[in-house]
Amino acid sequence: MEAVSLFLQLLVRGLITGSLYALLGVSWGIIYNTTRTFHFAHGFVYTLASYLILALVGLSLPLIPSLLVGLTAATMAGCAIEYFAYRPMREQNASQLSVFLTAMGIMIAGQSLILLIFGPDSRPLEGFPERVISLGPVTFTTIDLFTVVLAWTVIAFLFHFLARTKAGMMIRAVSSNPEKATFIGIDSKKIYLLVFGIGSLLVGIASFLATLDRPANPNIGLHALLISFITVFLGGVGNLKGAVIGGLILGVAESLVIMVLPTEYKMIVTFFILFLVILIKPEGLMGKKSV
Amino acid sequence: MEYLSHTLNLTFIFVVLTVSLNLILGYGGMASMAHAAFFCIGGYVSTIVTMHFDWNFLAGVPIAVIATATFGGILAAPFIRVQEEYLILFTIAFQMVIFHLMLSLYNITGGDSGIFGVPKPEFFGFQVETPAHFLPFMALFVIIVYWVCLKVTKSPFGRVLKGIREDERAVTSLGKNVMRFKVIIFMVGTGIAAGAGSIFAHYTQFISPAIGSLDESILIIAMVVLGGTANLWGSAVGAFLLIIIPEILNFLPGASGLIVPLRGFIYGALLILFMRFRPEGIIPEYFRLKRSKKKSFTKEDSLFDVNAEKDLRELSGFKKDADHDPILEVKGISKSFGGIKAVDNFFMSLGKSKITALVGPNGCGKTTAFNLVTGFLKPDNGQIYFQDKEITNVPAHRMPHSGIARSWQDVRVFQGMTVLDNLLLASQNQSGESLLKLFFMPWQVKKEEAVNLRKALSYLEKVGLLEKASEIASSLSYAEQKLLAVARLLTTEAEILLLDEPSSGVDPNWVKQFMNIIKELAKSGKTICIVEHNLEVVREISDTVYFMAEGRKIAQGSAEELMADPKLAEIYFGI
Amino acid sequence: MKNRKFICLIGLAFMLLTSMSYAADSKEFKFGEILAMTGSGSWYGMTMERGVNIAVDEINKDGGSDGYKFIGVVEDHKSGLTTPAQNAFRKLTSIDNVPAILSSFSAPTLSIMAMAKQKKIIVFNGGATSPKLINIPYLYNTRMLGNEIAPFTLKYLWDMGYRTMATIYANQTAPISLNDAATKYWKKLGGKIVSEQMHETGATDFTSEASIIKAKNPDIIFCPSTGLDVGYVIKAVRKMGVKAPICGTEHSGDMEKVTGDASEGYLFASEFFDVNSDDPWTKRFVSTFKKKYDVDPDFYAANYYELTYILKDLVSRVVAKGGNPLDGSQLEKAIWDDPKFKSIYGGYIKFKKDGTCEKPVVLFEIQKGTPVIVKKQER
Repeated sequence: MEAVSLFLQLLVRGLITGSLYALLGVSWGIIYNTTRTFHFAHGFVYTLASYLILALVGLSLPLIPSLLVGLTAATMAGCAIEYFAYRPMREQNASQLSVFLTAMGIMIAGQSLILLIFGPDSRPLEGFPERVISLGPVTFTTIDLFTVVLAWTVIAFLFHFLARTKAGMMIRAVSSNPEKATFIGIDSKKIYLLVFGIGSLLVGIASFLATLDRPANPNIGLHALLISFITVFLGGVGNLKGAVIGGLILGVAESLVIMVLPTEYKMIVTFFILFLVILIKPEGLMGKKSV
Repeated sequence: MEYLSHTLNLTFIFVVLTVSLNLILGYGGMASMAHAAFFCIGGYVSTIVTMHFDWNFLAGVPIAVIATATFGGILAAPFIRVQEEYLILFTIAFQMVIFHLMLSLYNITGGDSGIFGVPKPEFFGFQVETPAHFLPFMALFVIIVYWVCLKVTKSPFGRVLKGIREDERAVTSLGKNVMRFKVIIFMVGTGIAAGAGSIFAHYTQFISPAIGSLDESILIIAMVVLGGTANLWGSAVGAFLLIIIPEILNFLPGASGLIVPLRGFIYGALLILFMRFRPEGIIPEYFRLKRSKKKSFTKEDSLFDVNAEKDLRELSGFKKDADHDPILEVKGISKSFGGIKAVDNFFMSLGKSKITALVGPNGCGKTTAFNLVTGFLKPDNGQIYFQDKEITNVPAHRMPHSGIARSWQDVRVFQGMTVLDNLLLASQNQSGESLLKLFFMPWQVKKEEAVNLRKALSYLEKVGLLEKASEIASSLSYAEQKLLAVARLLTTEAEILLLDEPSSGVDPNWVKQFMNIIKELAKSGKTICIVEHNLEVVREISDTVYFMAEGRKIAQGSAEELMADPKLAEIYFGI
Repeated sequence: MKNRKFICLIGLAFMLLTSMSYAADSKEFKFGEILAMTGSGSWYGMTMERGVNIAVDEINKDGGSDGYKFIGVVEDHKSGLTTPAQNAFRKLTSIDNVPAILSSFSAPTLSIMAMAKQKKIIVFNGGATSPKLINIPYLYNTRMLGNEIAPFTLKYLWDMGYRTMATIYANQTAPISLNDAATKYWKKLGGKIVSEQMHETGATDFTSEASIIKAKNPDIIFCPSTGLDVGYVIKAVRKMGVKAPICGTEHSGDMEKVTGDASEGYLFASEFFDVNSDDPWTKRFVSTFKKKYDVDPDFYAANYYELTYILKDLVSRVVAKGGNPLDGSQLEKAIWDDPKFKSIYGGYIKFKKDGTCEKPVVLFEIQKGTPVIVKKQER
């Protein structure tokens, strides 16, 4: 009985974490699927969002306006990175390694800047009512509930946007066949900026949700980044639904693995999954092989 | 001053790390984010071995090198199979797995506090006490590593690597096993890194997983790229830059809380600026201090000693060609992709020293047939015989050795190499492509290179490109590059030459030159098969023509016979 | 004539220069501090540095130690990393030429001891708790090490009737050895260990580990992790609805930032630094610290304040013998002239041959965010 209730608890835990991972995954996935850019500086946008929201709340600005400002800044930062860094490099036909190192540079410089301005301390986001809820063997908090609800709402919105709006269809066109999309008159440059904006907005929301639960520190960006692309590669490149599934699978796997392995191997398992996925089926579980 | 000595020692270690990664990245074309992991593994192997068996570090270092290189070799196979665009991610995942594993296995590795008390370096009783003492040894190590790397990169082995970086398929078609080269260079690179790791562990008398973290790997790769990929001197510059600049920052007055983020900011900014504005690095690959004079060759250089050639042929086990006619037989091969049968029960024979043409409308499967015969594709059924040996499943890179070589429709000449190097790469059985022979039998390598050079020059003369021998291939006209491709094929000394649309894209004057060359080749004993769209060429030079449609042989005969058949014309022109 | 004037000028300049260097050489005692200035343990570094600064100010105001002006040089080991610690050691000993270093955290301290022995630099530890720090030449600990603290805490809980224990500890030198000592001790008492989990240092998400603890339903939970780690563990365990008492070996001043109210009832044993002591020296230290930093000093600050004064004593001893206080080996020998040193905790501490000393230890319980003494160690 003990094992069953542990399993249920871990499963629910995994689904909660997985929901956040799914959001992270689509935030990075929409950028990668459309532009095929390895946007490693995504982690910096994540960190920026948290710190800005925290700073504004710390200055006694109420939560909602702080959130809006933080998200706007994140969106703009993402677009700026595309406009000033990735686009010129793409036009110069830069190698993938160069793009990676540039993004790393942005991460490192950006994180250092945050360290300089805000110092190394962790900062909690206060003010959100946190109560523990127990349903039988399973325990979670009101923050967990809020995270799940908001994450799925945002994901649903995103899919609706992609399926029903004109902009969404243009994005999907560029995703599946960039040359054809240009032929029919879609300005891919504008679309690229758009997806960077959307992706950065989404990662800002994810960052906000995570900060409700855990204080921010300058290193949260790297972890979020790694989760983002493990999720996308696990679930399927070129297919956002895959990223969602990937997020859930990763969250649940991370949670359940400690039933069989000692907890110190948690991180190893996560990376080992990525290692295997790239080795065996790099397009991911639901992805399409690139022609 | 001890601090200075230590900083120099540290810089030397990183120079070695950067150079060894440059071998893998710049020369091997593999973006490995896991280099620091191998550095750390090397350090641990040497530490554990010397501490457990109470051996001198002079024993620990080579053991670390060999063990890590072997591990690298085993790992290299999956690394190489991964598509290039995913390699960065893949090696990051690998790096993190190794790092966390080292941290978790604290009973072996000491966990985050590492192992201290690693035996000091000791040379036959002389113990190294201070960093200043160690400096000359460190410098010696760097010099040895540089010597090894320069030798490797400037050798025939290095030449093949260069080709691989540009065009793997072309290199394969010239008879080189790309996988083997990549695995070997990966082993060399990781082995050197392990050597540096073990020396570092003994020098600092301490090892912990921290030196094998992702941050360190990124630092090393940044040094390679900033310094200049595929340029060994650039690596030294890159290493110096990224060690000295942060060290200088240490001396800035100011709260220590400020220095760490400031260093990080400058490091990040350096990366961004370099990648954005000077991605080829400080010293780019083709940097030359002065304009070195281009060598020019004359007819005399190209005459070679027949006896020397004979010796070499016997040395390399080149079999005397049996008299077998037809020399190549294709028996009923088929190939399907998905639901489409590209080649369907195809039959063809090549007569010895004859020119056979393969024609047919677009998309009839000619190139697929070529790929099947030369090992780039495996037939679903059917057999292919070269003389009396079955070669149906022989992989592409072994075909030239077996006696069959092919050219490409899109030429695929190595643009970044000289005309001469393009040819030299195509020579078969080069001792210089074996690192063991390169280092332990250098005289043989040198002798072979000299003979191969003469041979190559004679082939160039045959196609009329002798004056262009030292020119960079990219400076040649399209037609000249096509000639170069033919000369390159000749260098493989394959008996059977398969030419894929040799005259496409060149104007009529050149076409005449091509036809003459091909006819001469057949007269001198080569068996030739050409895929051609230009019916003039087909009529002019071919002895037999095979007509192909929808993957099958429709007709076979002389050019006149086939061209007189109205049904074939219908199929060919789609009328 | 001109030549002679020239030579006189050179001679004068030479004398001035040498006398200037003589003046510059006047008597500075530089010592190193290798602390956690950045990272998840940065609170420790901040408070330790503060303790040293107060001491340095006081000592210099008094004219230094036998005329030697005290200068502390701070370096960062980034919350426990060994490479920066070693780099710091090299810089301190070859550029700043320090003969003594105040270190912190177990792994950094261990990583520099081989070099310290070789170069004869005396190293003091006032914060790290790993039992590995015993019996290392040139290393002296003024912090009570784990093999003493953990049993004290556990015995208290055992006496209350608890019998089963779950542990969760960081993949770090001190927590690993502390977990080892604690589980051995608990088993010796006759208790049962229902689960042991090792976590990554600096992790923040402990929900899975807490789920396992919830499933195993232990009487008590032991978490010897440091810094903010133990805070996150406490928070996660309480969120899971587990009410079992949690005990550990560390309490950093910023833990409540992470736990909020959840830290209520957390037990930890440590040196008993009584801010309300009547000892005049202690009183002076507390009031100076409070005035400068607006908060009461904790025992970390006290330890490093105390260590600075130990350095001062050693310098005096060496000078009295006519030796050179800038020589680490002489400072080290001076300890054994009399291993007793005045303690800011009141009374004296005495160094043992294995490099440890004894200090009064008490068990604290967090009540409404403040540590409150619940048991004193019998001495």
